[in-house]
Amino acid sequence: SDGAPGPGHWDADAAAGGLVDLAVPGGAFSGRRAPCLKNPVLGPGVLQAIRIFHTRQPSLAPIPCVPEYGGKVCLGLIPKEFFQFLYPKTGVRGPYVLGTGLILYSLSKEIYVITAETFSAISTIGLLIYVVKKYGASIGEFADKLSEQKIAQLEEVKQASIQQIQDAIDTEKSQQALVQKRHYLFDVQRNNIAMALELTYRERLHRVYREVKNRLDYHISVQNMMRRKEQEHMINWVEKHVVQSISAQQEKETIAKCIAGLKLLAKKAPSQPVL
Amino acid sequence: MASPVPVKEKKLMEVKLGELPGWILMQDFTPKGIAGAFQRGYYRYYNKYINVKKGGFAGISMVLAAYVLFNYCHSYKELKHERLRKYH
Repeated sequence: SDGAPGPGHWDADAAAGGLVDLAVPGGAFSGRRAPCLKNPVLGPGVLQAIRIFHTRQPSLAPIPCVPEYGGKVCLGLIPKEFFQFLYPKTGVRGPYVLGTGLILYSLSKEIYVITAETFSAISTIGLLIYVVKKYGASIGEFADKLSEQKIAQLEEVKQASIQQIQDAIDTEKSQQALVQKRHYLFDVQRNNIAMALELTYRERLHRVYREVKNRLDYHISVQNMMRRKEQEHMINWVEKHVVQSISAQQEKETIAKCIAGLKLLAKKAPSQPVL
Repeated sequence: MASPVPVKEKKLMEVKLGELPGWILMQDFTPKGIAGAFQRGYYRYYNKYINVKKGGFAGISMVLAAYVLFNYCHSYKELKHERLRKYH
């Protein structure tokens, strides 16, 4: 019994696990328990087999090749083994002498009777021998070509199948290699997300700044407006009162003084040309 | 006659002449055994002379010769009357 499971075995997950095999006589008679998992750690999904199948070496593989040539036959009728069998006792010519003797004996004792059929048999066999000797080789080649075609077809199928499986293996390997490069994808995604977060953060920061500035500007403009209004109001108020305080009499005197003064000025500078 | 290999499992060529009747009797004569013997014999012949890459004429010629011989033996009774001489 081999230690490591070879091809064709169930993976015996079997240190201590095992389904109770009720088909095995030992299992049936040794304490009937309800079927349960022997190794509950592994859980019910994992196959827990204790019997290892296919332990013997497969006896028919590799299948022996079809032999190239058949057993050797002498005269087309008698296998060479017969000659080998007689060789130790009678040498090389033994079987031929035996054959001749048997033929002469059967003829002389008329165990073989010469009839009309004898001649037809002789001509048939002669014809057969002639045909075989003349055309045997070419027929053999033709048959060989046919069988070679068949073998080539099968070989093609086999090669195609092997090629397919090889391609599948290569594809699988490349897929597995791709798995190693997944981290690039994840890096890019992570970078994108980080950038997006940064962008939103800065956008919102800017918005906050704008809003705050807006409110502060509002307060400032309110203040400015108030001050302006107060200024204008004060100026108007002062003007109004000043104008009110000027009585009619004062106004006439002031106007007469201004006119007198202007007249003086006109007298003082009559020579200056008006430009 | 204690031979190291039991007589039943020897092949025919290895059986000594004295053991022959015993060997014959020990063979399996059930229908299954006989059918198995025919099957084995057929496949032995087939795999040796016919199921080869470059078979020759010998494969079928031996079968035909055996057939001819068998028919001759079967019809010898009638052929006896066509003998050329009465006393040999």
